[in-house]
Amino acid sequence: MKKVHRLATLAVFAVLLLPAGVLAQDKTEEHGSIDFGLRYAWGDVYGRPDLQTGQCLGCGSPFDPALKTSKFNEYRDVRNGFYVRRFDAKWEHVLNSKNNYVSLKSQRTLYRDQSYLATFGEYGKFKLQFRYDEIPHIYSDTARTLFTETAPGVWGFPAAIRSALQASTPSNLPSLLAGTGANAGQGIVTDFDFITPSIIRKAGTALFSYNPTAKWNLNLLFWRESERGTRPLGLIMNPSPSASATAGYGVELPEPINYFNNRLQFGTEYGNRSRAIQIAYIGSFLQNNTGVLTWDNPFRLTNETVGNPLTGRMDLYPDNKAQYLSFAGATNVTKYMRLMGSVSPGWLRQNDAFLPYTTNTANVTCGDGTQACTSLSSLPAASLGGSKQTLAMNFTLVTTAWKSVEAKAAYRHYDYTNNTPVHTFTPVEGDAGGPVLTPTDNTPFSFNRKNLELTGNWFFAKRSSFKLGYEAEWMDRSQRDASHSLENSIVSALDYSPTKNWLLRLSYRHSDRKPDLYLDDVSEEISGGIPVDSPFARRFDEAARLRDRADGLIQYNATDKLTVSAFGGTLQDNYNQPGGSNNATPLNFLTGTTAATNPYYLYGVLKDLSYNWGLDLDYAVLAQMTVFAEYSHERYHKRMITRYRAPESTSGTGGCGPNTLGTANQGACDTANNDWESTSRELVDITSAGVDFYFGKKVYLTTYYSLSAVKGNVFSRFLGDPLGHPNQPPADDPDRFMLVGTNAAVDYPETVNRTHEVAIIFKYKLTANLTPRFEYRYQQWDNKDYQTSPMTQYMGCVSPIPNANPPSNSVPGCTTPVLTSNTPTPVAVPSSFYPYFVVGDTSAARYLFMGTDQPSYKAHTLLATLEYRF
Amino acid sequence: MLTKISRASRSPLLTLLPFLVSFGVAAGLNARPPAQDAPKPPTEQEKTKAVAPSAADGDYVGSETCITCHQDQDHRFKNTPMGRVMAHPRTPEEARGCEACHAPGRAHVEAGGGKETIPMRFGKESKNSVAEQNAVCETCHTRGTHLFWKGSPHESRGMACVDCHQVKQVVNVALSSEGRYNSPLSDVRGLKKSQPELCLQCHQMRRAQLQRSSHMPYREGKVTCTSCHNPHGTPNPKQLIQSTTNENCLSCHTERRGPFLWEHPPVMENCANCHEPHGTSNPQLLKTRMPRVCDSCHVATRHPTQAQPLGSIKNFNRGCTNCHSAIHGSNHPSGDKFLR
Repeated sequence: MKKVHRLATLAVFAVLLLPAGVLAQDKTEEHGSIDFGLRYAWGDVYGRPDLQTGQCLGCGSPFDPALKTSKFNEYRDVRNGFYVRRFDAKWEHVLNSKNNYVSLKSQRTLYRDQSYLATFGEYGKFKLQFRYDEIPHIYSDTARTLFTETAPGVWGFPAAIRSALQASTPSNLPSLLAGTGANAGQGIVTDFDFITPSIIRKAGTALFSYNPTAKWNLNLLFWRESERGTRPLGLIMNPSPSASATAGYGVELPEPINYFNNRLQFGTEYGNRSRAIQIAYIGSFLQNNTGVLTWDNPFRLTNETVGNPLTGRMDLYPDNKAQYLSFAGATNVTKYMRLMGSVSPGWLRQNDAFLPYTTNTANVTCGDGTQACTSLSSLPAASLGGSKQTLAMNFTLVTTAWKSVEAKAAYRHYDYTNNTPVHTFTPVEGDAGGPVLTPTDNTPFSFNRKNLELTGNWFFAKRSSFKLGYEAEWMDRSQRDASHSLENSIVSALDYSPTKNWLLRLSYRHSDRKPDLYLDDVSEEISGGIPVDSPFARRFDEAARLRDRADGLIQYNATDKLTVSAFGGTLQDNYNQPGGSNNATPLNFLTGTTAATNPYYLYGVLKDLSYNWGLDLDYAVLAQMTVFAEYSHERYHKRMITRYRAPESTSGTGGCGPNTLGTANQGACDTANNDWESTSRELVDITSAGVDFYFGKKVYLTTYYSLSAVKGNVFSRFLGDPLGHPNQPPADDPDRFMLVGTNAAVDYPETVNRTHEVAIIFKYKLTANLTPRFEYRYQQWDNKDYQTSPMTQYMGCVSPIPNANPPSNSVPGCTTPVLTSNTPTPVAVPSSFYPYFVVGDTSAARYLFMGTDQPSYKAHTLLATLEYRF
Repeated sequence: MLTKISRASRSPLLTLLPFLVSFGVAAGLNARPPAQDAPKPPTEQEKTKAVAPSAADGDYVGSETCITCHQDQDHRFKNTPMGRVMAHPRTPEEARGCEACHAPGRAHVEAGGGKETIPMRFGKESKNSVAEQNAVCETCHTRGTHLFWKGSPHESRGMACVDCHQVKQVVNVALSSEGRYNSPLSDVRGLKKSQPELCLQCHQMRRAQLQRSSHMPYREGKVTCTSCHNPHGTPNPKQLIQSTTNENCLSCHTERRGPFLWEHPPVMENCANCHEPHGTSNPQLLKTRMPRVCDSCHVATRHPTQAQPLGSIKNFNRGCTNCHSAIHGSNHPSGDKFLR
C-alpha cells in the first residue's frame, strides 16, 4: 500500500511538473514552489478510563484510541509519512500566446483532506478551472455496535442475542446487557465491535468563464460532490418517545450516507461604469443512493405484536432538486443616484415514493381503519409531490445628492410558498401502533418576509461618518403560532478617525418586534384534563422581543508598526414584555418576597444575553521582530421558564392522578406552582500570543500559544412552593407540586473544554530556490461533557429514585442510583468512574447506543519540509 | 399555503413606489455640483471624469514616462493579474496604464516627482478620500461580485478597496498567520492577508468563535468567510451570497432542503434559530445544548416540559434527537413526530 502511495505521489508530481518542461517559455521567471517532506504525529487519546487500548472482550475490532480517528483529525487527515504540504505554480505565456497562463495548486496532496486547483486561461479573456476537494468528518472513535450492514441501509443483529434478550425479564435485562451481577464479564454490549462513524465529501468543480469583451461575461459551472460514510443516528421503536424497561425499544445506528450532489450554474453578465446586468440559472440536485434504513429490533426475534415490532424502518433524506433563476442589475438613475436590484424565483421539488407506515405486520388499522399498515394502499398518495416556490427580490437605491451624505433605501422581499398537497395520514409512531390511529394532516409551512431599510451616512471628515437609519421587517406565516409580526428598528453607527492613526467604530441597534396574535392563545383541544396548548407559551423566534445590540472598536495604528485595538459588544434579547401577545400581569405563582424569580409574562425564553470584549495587539518591536497578542472574553446567558404539565391519568399512577375536584377538564397539575426556570450560561476565554522573527530575509521563525477555554452550565430550579403543596396527599390539590423525583429541576454538571496549541515554525532560506521548513505543533484538547463523556452502549443501568437505604427499588444488577433522596431538591451521586457525571435512564433500559464520544487528546506534530522554488 | 397574506403584501413594487418617487424627487431637488472642500463621495460622473478624460486631455504622459523613474513598481505590477490584463488593454481606460488608476501625471512629471503631485494615491497616507480611491477601482470592477458594492455595509462604513487588496506587489503572509489558519485554495491574488485573518482584523469576535470545539472546517482550510459571505456587498442579509440564511446553509447541506412531508417550521425558516455557524461549545454547532435548545420552544405540555434530572435520556448523548432524529424534516408517512 505504501508503495502504491509513493508511486501515486510521483505520478502526481510528474503531472504537476509537466507544464514546466513543455509549456514554459520564459526561463528566467519564477514559476512557483513546492513544499514537501515528512510528517510525523504522535500523542494520546485519553479521558475514557473504561476504554483501554486493545480492549476487545471477544470482539473483532478492538478499541484503538488513535489520533487518526480522534477529534484531532475531525476534519483533516494527519498521518505519518511523506507529505506534500503545498504546491503552487504558474506558467505565463503558454501555448505561444502572450497572455495565456496555466496555474496549478494543491494542498495536502494524496491525503483525505487534499485539494487541487488547476486553471488555464487568458488574462481578461477566459478561464477554465478545475477544482477537487476532499473533506473528511470523523464523528467518534469510541462508537461500537453489534449491528452489521447486510445490504445498503439494512442493519442486522445476531439472532441468538435477539432471542436471549426477548427471553429476558426486566429484572435481569440490565445485568445481561451490561455484564454485571450474575452475568459479570459476559455482558452483551461489551462484545460490540468498534467502528468509526465518519463521512468524506469529495467534490469536483469545473468552471468556464469567458469575456467576449471587457464588459461582457459568460460563465458555466458544474459541481459534483460525493458524500459517503456513516454518522450516528438515534431511533426509537415505540409510539411514545420514551423506552421503558418493559416496552419500547431504541437503537442508535450508523446512518448510511451515500449522496451525490450536483450543481449546474450558467449565466451571463454585462457591465460598464454606469450599469450592469446579470442573468443566471442555478440548478441543485441531490441524489441519495441509500434512501431507506431498515434494522432488526435487537430485543425481539419472534411474536410480533402491535406494540412490539421486529424491525424498524426509517426514511432517510429523499432526493430533491432546487432550481433558481437569478436576474440582477444596477444602473445610475441620475448622476447622483444608483439603483440596484435582483429578482430570483426558485422552484424546489421532491417526489420520492412513500414507504408504508410500518414494517410491523401486526398493525392493520391504517388508512380507512381496516387496512394493513405495511401496505402502500393504506396511504393517501404514492408520493408527496412536494413543491415550494421561493421568490427573492431586492431593490436598493443609493443617492449622494446631498452634500457629504449618502442615503440608502432598500427593500427586500422573500416569499417562501409551500404548494405541497395536504393529505390525511394515520401514522404508526415508531413502527408500533395503538388500537386507534389518529388521522393527521401534513401542514405545509409558508412564510413571507419583507424588509425596508432607510439609512443615511454623513461623511463629516476623512474616514469618519455617522449613520442613522430605520429598518422594518414584516413577517407573515402560515401554519405557525404568530401569523403576522412587525419589527421596527433604529440603527446608528459612528466611525471617527481624528487622526490617521486612530479609528473608533461604534454601532447601536434597537429593535422592537411585535406579533399580532398567537394561535395557541385559543386552546381548543383537551387532553387528559390539560389543554394541549399552553396559554402564553411563546416560541422565541416569533415572540414579542426587544433587541439591543451595541458594538465598539477602537484601534490605534502607528506607522504600521503598532496596532492596538480593543473591542466589545453586547446583544440583548428581552422577551419578557408585559401585555401585547404576552400576559399583562405576572404569571408567577409566588409573588412578593416569597418569589424566587422576577415577574414573568410568558413561558419560553425570557432573556438571551451575550457580552464580549477583547484586546488585540500587533507590535513590530524591531524590523526583524513582530509580536502579537489577543484576548477575548465572552459571556452567554439564556433564561427560560417552563411549566411542567402532565395530562391526567385515569389510573392515578401517572401525571397528576385523578382529578377529584370536579369535572375532568379542571386542568390537574396545570398550575403555576409547577413552573420551573432554567438558565444556560457559558463563559469563554480565548488567549493567544506569539512572535514572528525575520533575520536578514534568510531566517523566519514564529512561535505562538493559544488557549480557548470554555465553561458551560445549565442551572434549573423550581419556582413554586413545594412545602405548601406537597406531592403526596392530598392528590386532588389543584396546585399540587410535581417537580420532584424524575421531574425535579436540578443543575447539570459543568461542561468544560479547553484547547491548547503551541506551535514553532522555522524557515531558513538556504539558497534562492531552497528553503527548509520545520514545524512543531502541540495540541491538547481537554473535554468534559456530561452528555457524551460517559456514553457507553448501555445507559439504562442505573437505578431509579431510591426511597430507602439501601435502595429498595433499584434496577437489579445496577449499583449507581441517580438520586439519593426523594426530596424536591435531590442530590445526585457522582459516579466514581466519571466524577460529577451521573447519567443513565431506566427508561432507556431497552435502548442500545453506540457509545459515541470524542475523548480528549494531546498530539505532537512534527513536520520537516523543503520548499523548492522553480 | 400562504392564505393569510394579502395580495398587497406580495407587491413589493407597490410598496417601493413611494420611496422611489420621493428619492427621485429629493435627488432632483438637491442636485448641485459637489463642494470642493468636502469629503463627499464622488458621483458617477465624477468617477468617469477622474479616470477617463477625453482623448484631447494633454495631461496624460503615458506609462513609459512613469517607468523612467518607477521601474521597480512597474516590474512588480506587470506580474500581477491586473498588470497582465493591462498589458493587453481591452478598453481605453486599461490603455492608460499607470494613469488609469493614478490619474494624469503631467503635474507630477513637471514637478520633478513628489508624492503630493500624484493626483490619485491609495492607502492611509493618501490625500484622496476613500470614496475617491474606491471610485477608481469601480471604473472596471463594476460587475460580478461587485455589483452591489454601493451602499453595502463595508462601503458605507468607509472601507477602502486597498484596506484589503494590495494591487501592485506580491503579499508576504506572516508565518504566524499561515501557521494559525488554513484557507481553501483560491486563484484570488493580491489580498493583504489570507482569509480568515484578513476579515478577523475587524471582526474580532469571530476569531474567538472560530476557536470553538464545535466548528465547521474553517481552521482546517475547507471553508472560509467568503464561502458564505460576499464582502463586496449583496442585497441579502448579512452580506450572504444566497438570498437567506437557509439557502446559504442548504447549498451544501442539500439533504435538509426538502420539501418534506412533515416539516419543522423553525428549521425551514431559519437554521440560525438553533445553530451558530461560526462555532459553539455545544454539539452540532447548537446555540444551546439539548434538551434546552428544544425546551426553548416546546413549553406547552407533556414530556418536553419535564425539567428532568441528569439521569434522563433527554439529557445525554443526542438529547431529544435520541428519538426525534428526523428533526430537520421527515418524508416518512409515520414521521409526524420526527421519529422516522
